[in-house]
Amino acid sequence: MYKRHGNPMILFAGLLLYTAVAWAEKPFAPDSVAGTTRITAETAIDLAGTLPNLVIIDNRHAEEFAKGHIEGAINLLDTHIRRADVARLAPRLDTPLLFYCNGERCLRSSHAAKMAVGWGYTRIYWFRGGWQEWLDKQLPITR
Amino acid sequence: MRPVNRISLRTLTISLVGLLALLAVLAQVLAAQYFRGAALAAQHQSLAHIVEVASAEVLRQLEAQLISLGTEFQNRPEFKRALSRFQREGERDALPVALQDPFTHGFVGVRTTDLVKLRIFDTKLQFVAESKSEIDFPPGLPAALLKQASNREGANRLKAVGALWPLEQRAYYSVLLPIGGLKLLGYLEVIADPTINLRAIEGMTQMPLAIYGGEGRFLEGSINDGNDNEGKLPIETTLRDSENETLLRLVSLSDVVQLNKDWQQTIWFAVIGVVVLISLAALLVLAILNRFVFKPVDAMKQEMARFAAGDQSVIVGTHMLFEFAVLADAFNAMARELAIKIDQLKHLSRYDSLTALVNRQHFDLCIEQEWRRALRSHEPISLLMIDVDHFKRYNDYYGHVGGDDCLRAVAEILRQVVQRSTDLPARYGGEEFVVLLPNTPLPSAIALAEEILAIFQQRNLPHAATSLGRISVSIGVTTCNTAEACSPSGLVESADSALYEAKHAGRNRLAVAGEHGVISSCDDCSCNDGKQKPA
Repeated sequence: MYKRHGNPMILFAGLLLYTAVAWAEKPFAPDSVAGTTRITAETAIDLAGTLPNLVIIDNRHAEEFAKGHIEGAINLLDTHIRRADVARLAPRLDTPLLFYCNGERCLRSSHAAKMAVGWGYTRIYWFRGGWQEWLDKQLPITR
Repeated sequence: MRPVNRISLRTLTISLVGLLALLAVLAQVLAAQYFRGAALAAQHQSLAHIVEVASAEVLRQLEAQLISLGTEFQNRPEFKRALSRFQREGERDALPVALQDPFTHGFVGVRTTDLVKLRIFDTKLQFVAESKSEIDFPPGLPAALLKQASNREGANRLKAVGALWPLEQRAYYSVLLPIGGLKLLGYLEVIADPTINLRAIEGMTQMPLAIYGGEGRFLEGSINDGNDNEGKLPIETTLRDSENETLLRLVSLSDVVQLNKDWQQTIWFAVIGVVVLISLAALLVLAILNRFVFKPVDAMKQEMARFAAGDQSVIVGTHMLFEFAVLADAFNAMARELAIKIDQLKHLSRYDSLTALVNRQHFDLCIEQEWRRALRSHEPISLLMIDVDHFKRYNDYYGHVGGDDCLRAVAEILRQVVQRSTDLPARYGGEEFVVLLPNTPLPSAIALAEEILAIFQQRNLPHAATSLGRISVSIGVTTCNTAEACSPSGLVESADSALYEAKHAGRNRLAVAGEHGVISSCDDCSCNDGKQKPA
């Protein structure tokens, strides 16, 4: 019988509030990515020592990579990453892959890891703390 | 009378108020001194904290620089070649040359880092090679670094560590970084002198700084202990190792000239403020005391002084303060009592207790006064001297009590006869009486004497020991017409001679001086103080 109208003022205020909250909340990387193993800097070093065929992929911008990175890492920005590139580095789906980017405020490595999961890779390690954790722990830097 | 060695209430109060004011000013100065100390301590504490934070930041930046420098060094081709030769063939000769290279050809950050030495250690932290240096460093890692680097496992062995450590009264900062990336081949120790970096604290804190090493050795800085540090507050900070040994001592000088200036100003303000406030308070207190204490006390003092001077009519006013009212009441009661006593004493001293007539002493005063008055007014003055006839016989016959009754009866008759208030009957001694008659010529005096004789006759008071059978008197009359010509004693002498004449002539009669050869030209007398007739 009665048609219900939303109050336009309330809707507008709600929209403003949503924008403000979205603005304030810089995105955090997810706690985990399904199909991957989340690791710390120390585990990454241990893996590098124990898995000779480990492929370390740095998902940051090239300039950042040039200033310093983990020894042996390959620079592939997540938005430019293609299945063929990964396949060239890791021809077998059970080749261990390690993804990292700037840190917990960075979504690039989780994005890339998800794509690798989608392509069928089975041994994916996600270093969520990334470069920030590496620097904080004063670990060796390669340029 | 006023005692000079005593202090007045007013002086005492003013002195006490002054003393209190002095004490208050002193307390104010002491308080200001104390607060200055507290302010300096607070400034010292906060500045020391700032220097401490600044030095920690300087060392943190130095550590980052040394890590960066070490990482950079490992990328040098000559080092890489020397390292791989050592890895492959165990040949170490190229390593010292490669380690010396940055000192010869320079390195990034040379301006901000005082690089002292580079050393290589193997994975077990055993010495392998080092660059040359002027100072002889003891072989092996410094203890502070060894403590952090040894007993590490796995990935932790790849973490860079840094520490400040002492050597020959200086302190050095060492960073130990892994060589070989993720595959640990050995360690590179980068040693720097932090003094140049610590000098930056001077700019950060805007305070001149001196850096001292162990045993107080001066290392670096723009100030020296013992220099002219007037108006400066030294801020001391020590950098210690994990064993709490002092490695470096940083002394900054804070400028406290402004603080001292502020402090002096504060003291002046405080002292002036206190003086003004206390002066106002003192004025108020003195005004109140003046109104309620000093003035009443002065008034009481004056009233009491008047009383002491003989004015018995004085009544001390009761004032607002209870204590003074009590004092005044007590004084007034005492004064009343005293006045009554004085009156009684006066009476006793002037009147004869038996006959209630004026006594001889007072009569002598009165006759003197009346004579003087006669002298001024040129009026005649007369005197009667009366003696009871055969009084000794009366006493013997009627006893002393009877004698006293006789004397009282004579006095009664004299009082009755004397009509004028200026006339003064008195007991002159024993059974002798006198009547002083101021402003009375001889005829009137004679008339009065005759009247007295008549009354005795009329009364007929018994005296069994005489032939007359009653009490009779003999009267000597004298008059002084010009006071200059006689004297009070002369008047009395003259009356006495006349009395003798009367006795000699047979008693119960009067004789006039000057008659029958009695020389007396006393002409004027009366005691006229208005108190001749006692109640």
